[in-house]
Amino acid sequence: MIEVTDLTKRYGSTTAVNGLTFTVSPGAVTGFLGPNGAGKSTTMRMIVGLARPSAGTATVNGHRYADLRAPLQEVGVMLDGRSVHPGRTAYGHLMGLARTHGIGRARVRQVIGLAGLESVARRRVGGYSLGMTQRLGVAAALLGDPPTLILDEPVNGLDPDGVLWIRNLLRTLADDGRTVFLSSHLMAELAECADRVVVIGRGRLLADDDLATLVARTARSGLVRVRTTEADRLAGSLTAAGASTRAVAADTLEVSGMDAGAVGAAAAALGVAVLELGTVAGTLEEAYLDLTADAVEYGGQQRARATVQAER
Amino acid sequence: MTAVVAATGLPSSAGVHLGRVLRSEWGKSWGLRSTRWAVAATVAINASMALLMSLDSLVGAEGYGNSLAYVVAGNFLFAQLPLLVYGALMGAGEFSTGSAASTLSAVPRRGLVLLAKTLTAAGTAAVAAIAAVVVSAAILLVGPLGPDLHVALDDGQSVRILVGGAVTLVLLAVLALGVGALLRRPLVAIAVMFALGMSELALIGADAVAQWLPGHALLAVTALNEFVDLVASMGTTVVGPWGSVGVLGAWALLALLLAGARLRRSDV
Repeated sequence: MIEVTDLTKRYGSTTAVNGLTFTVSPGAVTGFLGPNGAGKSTTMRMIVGLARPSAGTATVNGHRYADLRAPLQEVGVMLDGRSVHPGRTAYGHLMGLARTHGIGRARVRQVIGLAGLESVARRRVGGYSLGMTQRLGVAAALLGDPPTLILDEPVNGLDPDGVLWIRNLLRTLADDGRTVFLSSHLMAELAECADRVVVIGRGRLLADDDLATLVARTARSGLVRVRTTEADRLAGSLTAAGASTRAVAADTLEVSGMDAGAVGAAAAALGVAVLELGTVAGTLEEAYLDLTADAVEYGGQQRARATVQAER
Repeated sequence: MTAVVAATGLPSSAGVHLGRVLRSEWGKSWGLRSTRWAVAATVAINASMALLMSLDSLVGAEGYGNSLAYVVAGNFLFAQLPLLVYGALMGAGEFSTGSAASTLSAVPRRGLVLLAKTLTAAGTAAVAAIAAVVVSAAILLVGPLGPDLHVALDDGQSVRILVGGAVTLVLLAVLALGVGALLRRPLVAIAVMFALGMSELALIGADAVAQWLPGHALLAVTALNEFVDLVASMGTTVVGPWGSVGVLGAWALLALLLAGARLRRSDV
């Protein structure tokens, strides 16, 4: 359980994180989504006590991180890949962390195995690929077998095998009842592995919801999409029945105000051939763009939109 | 692959304390090439300088005397350099590489980390100093000069030179660590420490000022009695050889306190 309350971080006149409040619950994978520079890493660094909040608090399992008796055994932390001394081997790095908690060699070997680093564990980290560095970060986070994991961009730089590996790992950890909190700027990735999503933009909370709820709320969610040989005739009939339609291609309509069954029945009554018919499911990406579009309206600025577009 | 297997090797008593953090820092330090090189270089430089000095015709009853202690420890001024680099890297390296984030998230009590690093640097410098003395002495004693050298360790001069010299090397490494942790930039810290460590050479004849600087102790505490008496007779200094070690200790403590204050207050 991670609780963040009114968390704020200012650097001079810049506010990197602005009054953030959210809770990350156990037993689920919670994604932390936002464009680069939105304040994700800063928030995570404040949670684990590396950066001091300008205001507000962050607790893990009810305690300030700095007050935890055995941090590695309560919270597994993976920060960006540059948190390992390049002159150290993976084994040396993990042993250095393990010794601070009296964790034995056997556990170090175990997490090296879990991360698939056996063949390179005795090589200096400076020569590692980004993917290997990420695996080492995950191994370090798992070292104390903690009930809570905080992972900053763990998917970055992994090959497809690695992506699949970490997705399964996170799922297993959450199903095991652990709290899993990971950041990403890749919406597709979070859509694949997260149960809940905390969305921030420019340091502010934009949403904190179930992935499904968030996606269902998108503007296009629930639209019926129909492809037909006679789009104009069908559109006329549907409009007359009270629905609104929009032609998205010469032979394709998007219909709102009517479900797919009713659209199909209307087509049948008209004798129009239906080539495809279905309900549009929103995507996390759409949900995200909707959210940030609102933020732009409140701010009255185009900058956020530009950030979002750069992100895509 | 099973993602979560039953964890083995977790401690029976959970917690972070000085003993554990010290074992971690000691292992981390000796796991780096730079540490092993620094210790080896200290020994090699000291042995080479001792060997050179033994070829000097001034060693012997007619010149500098035949104190073995002076021949093996009288060149710590040069042997200190690798240890200054080591100390500065120990203090600043984790910040320049970013690994401080790993270390401090495992041990959020930052003072504990600084203390463990200080003890590690002190221990490593002590190992290097003792090894440098023993290796240099061994080489000299089997050499042509061996039979003439005075090896008795029970006179005040030998004890001052050997023990004082080793303590001074340890304090210099600790000062370098403090400066490194304070500045967080290895190269700047190394430059500062070289300037401080060698300042004595630039300040010869200006003892009134030099005695209060951290670079004074090494020459003062490893000097022969005759030189100590000569300096004292000039009346420009108030701190003796041991006093200068105390001055260095105060500088080291100040650097550690400032580093500790920065570590406590600033983000990593």
